[in-house]
Amino acid sequence: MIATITELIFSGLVLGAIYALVSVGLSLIFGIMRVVNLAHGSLLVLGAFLSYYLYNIIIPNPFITTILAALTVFALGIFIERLAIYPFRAYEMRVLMITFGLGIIVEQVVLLIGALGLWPMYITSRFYILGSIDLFGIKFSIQRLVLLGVSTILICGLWLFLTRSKLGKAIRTLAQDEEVAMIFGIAIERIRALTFALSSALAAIAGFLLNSIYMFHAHAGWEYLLIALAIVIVGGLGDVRGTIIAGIVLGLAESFVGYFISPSWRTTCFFISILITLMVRPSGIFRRGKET
Amino acid sequence: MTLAIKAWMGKVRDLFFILILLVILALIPIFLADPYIIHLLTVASVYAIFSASWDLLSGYTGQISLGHAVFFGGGAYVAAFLTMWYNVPSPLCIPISGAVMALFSIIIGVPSLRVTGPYLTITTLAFAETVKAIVIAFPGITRGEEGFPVRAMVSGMVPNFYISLFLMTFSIIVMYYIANRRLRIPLTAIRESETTAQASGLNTNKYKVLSFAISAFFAGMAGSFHCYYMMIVSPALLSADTSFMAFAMGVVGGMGTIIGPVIGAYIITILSELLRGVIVRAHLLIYGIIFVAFIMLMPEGIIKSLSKLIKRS
Repeated sequence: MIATITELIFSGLVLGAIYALVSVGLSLIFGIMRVVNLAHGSLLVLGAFLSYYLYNIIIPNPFITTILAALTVFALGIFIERLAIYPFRAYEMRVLMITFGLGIIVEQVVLLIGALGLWPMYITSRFYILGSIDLFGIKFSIQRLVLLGVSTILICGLWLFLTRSKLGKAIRTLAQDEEVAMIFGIAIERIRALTFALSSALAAIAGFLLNSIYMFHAHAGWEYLLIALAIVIVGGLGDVRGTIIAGIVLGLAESFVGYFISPSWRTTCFFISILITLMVRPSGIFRRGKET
Repeated sequence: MTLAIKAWMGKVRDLFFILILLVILALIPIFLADPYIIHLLTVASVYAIFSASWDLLSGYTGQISLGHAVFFGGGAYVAAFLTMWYNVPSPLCIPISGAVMALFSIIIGVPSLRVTGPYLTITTLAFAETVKAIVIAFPGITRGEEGFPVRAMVSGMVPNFYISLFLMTFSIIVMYYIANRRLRIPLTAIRESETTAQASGLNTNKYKVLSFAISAFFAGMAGSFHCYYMMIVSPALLSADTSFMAFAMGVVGGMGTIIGPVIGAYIITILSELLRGVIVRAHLLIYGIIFVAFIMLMPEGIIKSLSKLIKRS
């Protein structure tokens, strides 16, 4: 029993770390632009598919292909922000609708390319490491350890970037107060585009990581969008620290619900966590300080 | 006095215009026996109901729902179960599934009282995905991802076309009456400023839940007819893609008009079919592009932009 629970906690942590990676981007975008990016899930799936495709045609090394895929999505993110979001920043609901439409477009492009035969309809990541490490009679699969390591490194890197680097500080200043940021001479337009692109690229990497756990179809994006939204709401919209905690907690929750009830109930579990948060404490369960 | 007469004349003219359009639509199968065109128009009518019901909720009260597929797909599933298990006659199933959806909408309508703006949008989107996941989670009952076949209500293209046309006309008239006569003031008051509406003594909670229920009723009816026409139900009906159709048609036609989404439904269905020759298997992609273009360039939709043009000239 203890062995089972330890394994569940381990797989929950792996999932949670990846989910945190997905959601941090969404949270950052909300913090900077006051916009919920509904295209996030589709960009995640696009990243996974691109990585798969590049693996097949250019270089069979999952790390290089993921970086290439992330760079492509990064460029796409800049493009989307400049063209479709920035001009409409004054209208909150309009931007929300635009991102939803963009999500549909990206999803359909992935489907269309699949229909043309460039990639299959369902993909699983080409990254697998067999074997496991035995520790006190509990098996830890090496692949999951790598996933946990990579996502932890990325989250820590992002955290350091946001708290230590000049650019990261600019991003946080902008999230707190746009006018003050402008007075301090922060190039708001550039930071906005950069943040959007950065979080899209993070989503793409997370897509690749998730893909080595779950199979992906072009439609999978909406489910992961829902998961990310649940995490962002539970953690508090725009709150990076809360989002990371919420990601890990909900990853653990999914792992336990999946084992004790059924894996197909995970969406319901996330939806219920959204509802409870909105009922109990709409500004986020893990938010520090006063409610805003 | 003369003003009143003028307004009245304007209304009569509009009604006459709509009547002529309907008659033309009704006569199409007689002059154009092309089954493909009739099929397109049937589908467009179903989506017109669906999209108008979305408009009643989102366009009038400003509670943008991105999970409207729940009611459409839910209506389809209810009708399918009633026909396939209990042998309830199909014409009865359509209003029944609408009523079931109206009750079902309370599950999302009541929590929606506490959340507004983007939060509500997220909640509805998440709700739809959850219901879809639950439907897939019970393959013993719902046959999972594949769905199951449903007996058709009537066979043949033309009878189905007339049924859809009748349903569409009926639903649109009722919804138009509700949205523009009976509930216009409370609904638009909620959209413009909920706090002001409450301060003026309006029971906003009642009207919000009510608009959810009415909207779900018609979406459920559209969904149940859709399942009889397509002769299949599947979780795809509950997906974000389906919600997006209602949404895109409403935006293209013009939100908050009821008539706008109807026109949007016909335009988008026909346009995407015309373009299907150019790009195969990509009608949703075309919807997406049209939709984004509209929100960027013409957020008011076709109807309002056209009437502005007419007024200016």
